[in-house]
Amino acid sequence: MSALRVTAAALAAALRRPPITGVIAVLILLAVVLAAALSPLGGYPIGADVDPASASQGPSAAHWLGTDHLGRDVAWRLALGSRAFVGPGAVACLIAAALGIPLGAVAGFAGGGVAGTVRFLIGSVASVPRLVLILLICTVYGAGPLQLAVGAGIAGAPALAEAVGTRIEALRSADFVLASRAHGVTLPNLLLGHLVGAATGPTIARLLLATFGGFVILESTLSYIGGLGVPEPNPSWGNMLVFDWGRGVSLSVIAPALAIWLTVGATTEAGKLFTERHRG
Amino acid sequence: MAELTLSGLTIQSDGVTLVDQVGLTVRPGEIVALIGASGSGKTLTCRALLGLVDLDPGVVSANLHVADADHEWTPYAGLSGAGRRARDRAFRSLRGRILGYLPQGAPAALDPVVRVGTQLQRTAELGQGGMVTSWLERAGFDAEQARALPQLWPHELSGGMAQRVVIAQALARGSRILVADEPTTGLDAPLQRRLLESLRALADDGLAVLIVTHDLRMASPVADRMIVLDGGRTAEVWSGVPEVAESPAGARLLSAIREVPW
Repeated sequence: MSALRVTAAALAAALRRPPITGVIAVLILLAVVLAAALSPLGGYPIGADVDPASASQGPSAAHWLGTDHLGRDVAWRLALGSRAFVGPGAVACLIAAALGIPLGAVAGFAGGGVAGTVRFLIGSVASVPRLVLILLICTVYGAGPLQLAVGAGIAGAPALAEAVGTRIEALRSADFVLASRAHGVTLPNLLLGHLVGAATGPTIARLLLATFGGFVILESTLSYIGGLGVPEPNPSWGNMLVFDWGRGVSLSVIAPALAIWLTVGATTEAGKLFTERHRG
Repeated sequence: MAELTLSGLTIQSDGVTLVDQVGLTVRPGEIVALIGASGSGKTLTCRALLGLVDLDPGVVSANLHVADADHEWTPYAGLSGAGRRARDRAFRSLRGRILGYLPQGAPAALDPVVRVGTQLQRTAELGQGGMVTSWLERAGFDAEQARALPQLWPHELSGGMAQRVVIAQALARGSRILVADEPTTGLDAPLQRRLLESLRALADDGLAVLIVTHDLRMASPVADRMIVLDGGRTAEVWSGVPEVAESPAGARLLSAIREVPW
């Protein structure tokens, strides 16, 4: 609970003196999440939207971002395409956090054989290339958004565990830890409230946003390549990018590319809001 | 009201004996000074009182008896196996509630990434409850400072302020026996005096206070008894100042810390 409070306080403090890029980044991420949540309510007929009469048009009042070469509305498909990564990306972040934070905390605080074992485990996962790990999971369990999310979550856990573990190891013998224990603060409260929450909270927030950004790229890449990503006619920013590829410069290619770039950039910039305020 | 008796404390690390058969007693209303040169085992002795020695094998023998009106604890009664779990349990119920600790270097004793008020609040919630500002006033801040301090980060405090914040924490926690490790280090003379006066006031309220220091001159006016650690052993126990310079251990201590005898 206190970890949440501290993180919320850090965010509130950061927003009081916001760097303008951070504010824009948060607005972009909010827009993407809202698009994913609300776009299905628009009733856009996915799969029944082919309209050769209005193929490859520029922007107009009817089609804000124009159409692709099958006459499908780019703006609607862009909004709907965000669903390919918003939900699964959030799940990936949750899995990375659920695995990485406790393992890192144990590795950092326990020391000795326990820490060695946990670090070996973390290192083993980290040594498998991310894409190979995800391909392996998709091969065994089939391709789908959940499998992608689980794969990306597991692949993202070592970075979190490493950051949390290193930080806690450095703080383990700090005087304030000794003082807290002397006051009778129990070990779980010490780990959660002080070491993970206050000391590592901003780092965790930054890494989770980076994990999300990484998932956007991963999902777009797989959909671009085809096979493991979102299959046509369902839209994803990756398969939209490839759909009109080689048919000249048009919004139907530029819009998804720009959307990917802006969203991934926004995760990095939003992460910078989580600076450590106590350093002034 | 609680009192503490320690005897036969021996601490080893990798075959080296760091503390050898040390003993001391602190009673309610009393300030006892544990004096020794750097490296004489003072801090280790403090940590052993709280069960916070992280060495291998650490405490190899000790007879620690802590008692308040209702309970008695002998945490070092068993040092291995099932005794170890009993010891951890005993120390868990002692730490904070009965035994308070003011670590060496107060600024580092505060969590650097949590505001002063939040830390004090959390400590108070473990113990006495009450308002953060009133605990700060009890620790010697005036009303205006007590209102401003809770919003500050620990790095914004001076050494003396941090020391008093740490004392406020111990008060808010409501510990009955205070172990203060070098509480006056880095403070100027007036601040040292104020700090010692507040420790004296706490002792007069019935707390038992153990001050650990290398500074004989600081400790002697305020301490009811002085215990000298000499090479990891308890050398002598003095009740007054004049005996100090005449005894061999006192002379060694004085030369070791380059103190000018008065």
